[in-house]
Amino acid sequence: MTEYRVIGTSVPRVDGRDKVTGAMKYTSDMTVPGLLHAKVLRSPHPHARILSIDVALAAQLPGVRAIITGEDAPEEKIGEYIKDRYALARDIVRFIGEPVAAVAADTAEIAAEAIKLIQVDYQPLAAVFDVEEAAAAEPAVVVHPDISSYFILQLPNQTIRLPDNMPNAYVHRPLNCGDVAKGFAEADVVTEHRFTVPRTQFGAMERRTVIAQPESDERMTFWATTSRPISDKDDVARILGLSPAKVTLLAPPLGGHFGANNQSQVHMLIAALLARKAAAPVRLSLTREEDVTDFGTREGTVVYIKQGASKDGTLIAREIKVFVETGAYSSGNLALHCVIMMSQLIGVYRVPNCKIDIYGVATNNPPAGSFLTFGSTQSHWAMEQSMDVLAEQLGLDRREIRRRNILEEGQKNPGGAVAQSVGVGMCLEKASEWIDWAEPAEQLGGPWRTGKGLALGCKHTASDAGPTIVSIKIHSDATIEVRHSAAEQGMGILTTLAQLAAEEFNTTMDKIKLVTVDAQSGGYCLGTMGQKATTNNGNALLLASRDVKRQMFEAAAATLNVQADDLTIEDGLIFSKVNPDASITISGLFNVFGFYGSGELLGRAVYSLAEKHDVKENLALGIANYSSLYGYYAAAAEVAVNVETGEVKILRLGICSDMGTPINPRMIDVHNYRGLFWGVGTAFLEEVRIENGKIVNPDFYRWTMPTAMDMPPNGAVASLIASAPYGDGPLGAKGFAEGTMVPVAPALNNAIAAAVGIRVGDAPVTKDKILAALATMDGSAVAQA
Amino acid sequence: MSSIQYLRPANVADACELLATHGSESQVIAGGVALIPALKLGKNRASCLIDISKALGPGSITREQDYVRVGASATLRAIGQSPVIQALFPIITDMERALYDVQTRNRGTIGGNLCYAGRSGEVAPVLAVLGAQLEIASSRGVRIIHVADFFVSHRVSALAPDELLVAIRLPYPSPGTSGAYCKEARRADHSPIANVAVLIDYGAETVSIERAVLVVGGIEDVPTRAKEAEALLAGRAIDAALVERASAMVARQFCAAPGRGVPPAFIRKALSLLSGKAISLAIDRCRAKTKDPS
Amino acid sequence: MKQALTLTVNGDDREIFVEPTRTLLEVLRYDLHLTGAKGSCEIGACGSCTVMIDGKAAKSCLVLAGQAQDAQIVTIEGLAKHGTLHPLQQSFLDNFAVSCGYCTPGMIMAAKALLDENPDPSETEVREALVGNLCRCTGYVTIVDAVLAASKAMQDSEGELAR
Repeated sequence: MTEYRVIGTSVPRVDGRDKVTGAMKYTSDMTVPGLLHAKVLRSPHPHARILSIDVALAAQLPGVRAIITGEDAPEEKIGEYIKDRYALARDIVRFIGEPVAAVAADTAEIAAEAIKLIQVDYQPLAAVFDVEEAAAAEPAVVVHPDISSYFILQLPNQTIRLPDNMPNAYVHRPLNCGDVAKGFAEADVVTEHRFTVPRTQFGAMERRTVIAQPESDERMTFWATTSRPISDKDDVARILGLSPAKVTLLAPPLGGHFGANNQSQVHMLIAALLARKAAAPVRLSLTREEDVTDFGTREGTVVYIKQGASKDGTLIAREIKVFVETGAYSSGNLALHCVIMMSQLIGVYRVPNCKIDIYGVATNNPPAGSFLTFGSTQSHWAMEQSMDVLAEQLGLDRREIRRRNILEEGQKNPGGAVAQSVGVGMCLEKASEWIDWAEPAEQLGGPWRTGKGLALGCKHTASDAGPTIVSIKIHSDATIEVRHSAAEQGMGILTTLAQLAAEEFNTTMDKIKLVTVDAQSGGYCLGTMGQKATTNNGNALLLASRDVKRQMFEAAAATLNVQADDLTIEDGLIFSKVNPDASITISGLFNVFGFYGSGELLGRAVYSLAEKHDVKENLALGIANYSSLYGYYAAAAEVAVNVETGEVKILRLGICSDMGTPINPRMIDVHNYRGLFWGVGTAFLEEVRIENGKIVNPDFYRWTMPTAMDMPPNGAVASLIASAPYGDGPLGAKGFAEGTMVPVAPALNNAIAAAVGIRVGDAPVTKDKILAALATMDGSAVAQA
Repeated sequence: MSSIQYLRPANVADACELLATHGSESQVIAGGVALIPALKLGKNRASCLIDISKALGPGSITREQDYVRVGASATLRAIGQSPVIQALFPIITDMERALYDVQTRNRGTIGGNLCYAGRSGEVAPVLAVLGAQLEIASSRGVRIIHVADFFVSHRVSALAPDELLVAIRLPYPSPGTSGAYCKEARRADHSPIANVAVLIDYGAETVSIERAVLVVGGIEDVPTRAKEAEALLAGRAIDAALVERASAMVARQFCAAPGRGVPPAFIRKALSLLSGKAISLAIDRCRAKTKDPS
Repeated sequence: MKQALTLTVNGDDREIFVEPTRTLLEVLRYDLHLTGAKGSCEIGACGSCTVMIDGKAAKSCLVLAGQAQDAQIVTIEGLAKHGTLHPLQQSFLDNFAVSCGYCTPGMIMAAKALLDENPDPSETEVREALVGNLCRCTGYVTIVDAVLAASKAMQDSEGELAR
């Protein structure tokens, strides 16, 4: 094991002090002089034609400074990968809540008053809400009749294809390996189930907010809640017809993210258009209802899964069909969601014969967004429960069946990619040991029945998502400034990067300074998403550090008359490893460089993942390049179910995650605990309910996430760490944090099934569903495929 | 909200006068924990808010000759922490502990919760089984009404636009009497899907129940008595089978409207469970009070 | 209609000229520039706007400026003294109870109100006191740890002083 000075140590978060004193400034805390406030008029119809919009009355209201409608918005459609939407609707609205017009006024109240005065005539159209109805070959309603004419941004080796015979589907992503029909014929046992996971909301505490400030020479400055400052800057600039060089986008830390800020930034464009028209800065802060309605939820998902195995539990064949209900627009990264969901469906087990079809389907529900885990939660909810059913039918131990089928390092997954940095087996052993798997659950007596459950999971780490640039500036006092574009969402990327920099320069944390991201002065980064920031920004940081160290060592070598290769640095002192007396301080070195009194050194690097796991796309086979780098997880749960009331008590709940080299163990614990919390929410509480296209529980009162009282006591939870170092990661680390919730809900439901012999396939597993299933006791709560 | 007029009368007489003047376009604001969100979400409208916190003061809890008097502006938390309430009305402590969260209980008042008169009110069924009397003031004087006459329909009470709830009178419980409150909610701190308040009176003897009062909230528009179950319990010696029969009766009496995100069958089941739990808890408390050895 | 109000915030009398029906949260953030208390749900369901009013935790999005007159208001900005963190703030930092940090000021204020009333709470009492404060990042584990550790640290230092 390499000895590290800072890596592996739980140093306090670099942003912690400002956060506990209330000094930290988030986008919502920002203001500028002369700020106007915006409100958006939204469609009350799930599907309608706009016949006319009359803004005359609103324009007369004192204090109104600008009004925009679809006419004022650029003609270019927006969207990630599939360009399917206007910033403000033109002609057609496709969901309740679609922006139709917007007003900037002196106060938010005047703006709210003004949008009530805008008169819109609609001709309502028939709408479709159920994903499987929408997915029919001849659906009653087609949400996007012109879908085939939409611009699609194609990714290399991951072609996005519109399916045949499914007019409402944006994407059909298939995968075929082996021969499933033959596989099922050979299997001793075949199981078939249908599982669903409903929408839930991101629930980030800070609502999406933007300030757009027009400057001279058409320049524009934004303060925005964003996880991808540079991509947003580029997108917004393009749609506004500006050079990206004219847009500055300041990205203060986010008050939570979970995917919420990865979407096409419709609200940023609306604020920018208003600001431009009013020639004044405009703030648009979405209300909680708006925040959840427009790209504010997880995709509702239906998974059909059929599995075949031999007597000894070896998986022989799997057939999976997934309907991803994305709502009215795909712009919340639906196409990518389907690509990555495929990765997650093939990441854990060896399956020789596999047929998977993922359909991304449009409805007239509000558009869903690219949500935490990108489909992995939904995938594993289905797969990990199916593994238990298989074990039960074969009379095998549920840990054992997993052990027998886990993909091992170097083996090919069903997509043809070679498994690497595989820690899932380690996670399974640690988690099951913690829950004393071999021991039966302790019985409580009375109406309570107890049981244990396990589940595995993987979450694709998107380290292949484009190049990442970091530069390192060295100041004369030996402060190391990291110039980057990684948005801090709360996950601790700033602390992670600071630890890597401190390690690389062999110095203390207080000598590291990270710049505030402004999308101009830091280097390129697609965004902090897909749990790739540690890998990509971390690698770029190390390379940039080595670049500036090389410059320093070369200059120092010349002055000290030593070999540059013999030099090292520690606490700001450069010295020779063979002759420690030959040394020079950084300020001394600055004189060598010709700086006197002031100055700075700069190192920079581009990191791009070598495409060594590249799989060539084969459209006929449905093989595409699905990266095989994952964070891996195992969850273990012990629950008690009250057979009279349907109540579930969590007796123990633990998770083990594999993140390669652990950089900050206590920060990792927090991610693991968050996984438990989101898993409990998914399993028992969270559901955004939509009735006829309208979200009926948008607010934090009617929509329920777990409170401190819904979580088990601290003595009953565990955060465990497994480490399968990633050779291409920074000091062996890889991203893992996004996926910690993945195995938790299925482990809980597997424990319930073990306790009472029923399985509710539709999350969340509420008391009423448990009681209904217990009443039938024939397993009919698991709808058959 | 900033266009709404804000008035803060110094005493009850002034408050009544303002109510008489502004009447139906005004809203009385006490703690504001329900009214402010309702105004923000546009579920409630007012051109004028009359803040009665100064007029009513902090809302003291005092022992009077025939009843405990609770000022309408007493916060839910103050009531829950009051030694008088804890000693005499454990049913109120049940209710208080299950209400929202600390911050909300710190601001929300008993009068506010009652006057909101929502279907899912938590104070209402409890005061109903306790047979509380309400002191209502107006420029026309003070009138006393029984809490059972207070609720008209969902969000509508018997308060006239010019009237102000000033205090709640809780009759002293007789020695053989105690109550309990249980609720079913999606999340523990939430408004109930259904709630049940029970008062059991063993009278002087502790052999059989002399009188039982059961009130169900959350289902009908107003808190409603489960009279069949009450009749079943009255005069009978208690045993597990009786509790079960009474609970089943409660569940049969109430038919939940669909469309509240919970299947009606579950609500019936929940009602039966809640009733059983509340009846048993109330009986246990009665027995503990009278030190019944059984 | 705007009117002159005096609010006592973190020990200072602050004169403001506002509509009394604006919420205390808005007044703190926009008029007094104390942005530590956060707006999130705006309907009293998340607790990120928690401050203390007369020693008790309250959600400032559910309090009108008019209602806050004559009261002592303490916000997160009032906790650290001369650059020294309050033991709860230090404990949140030490125990990794902070992630995105948006709920943190409200959490700390709710915890302070608890410890002021009950210096030695059980874990369950801590959880009950924080039930009105939502956090989407931590699962509450480290937050509960931080409050319990702060309680211990504060009692230990009380003990030190007494000796």
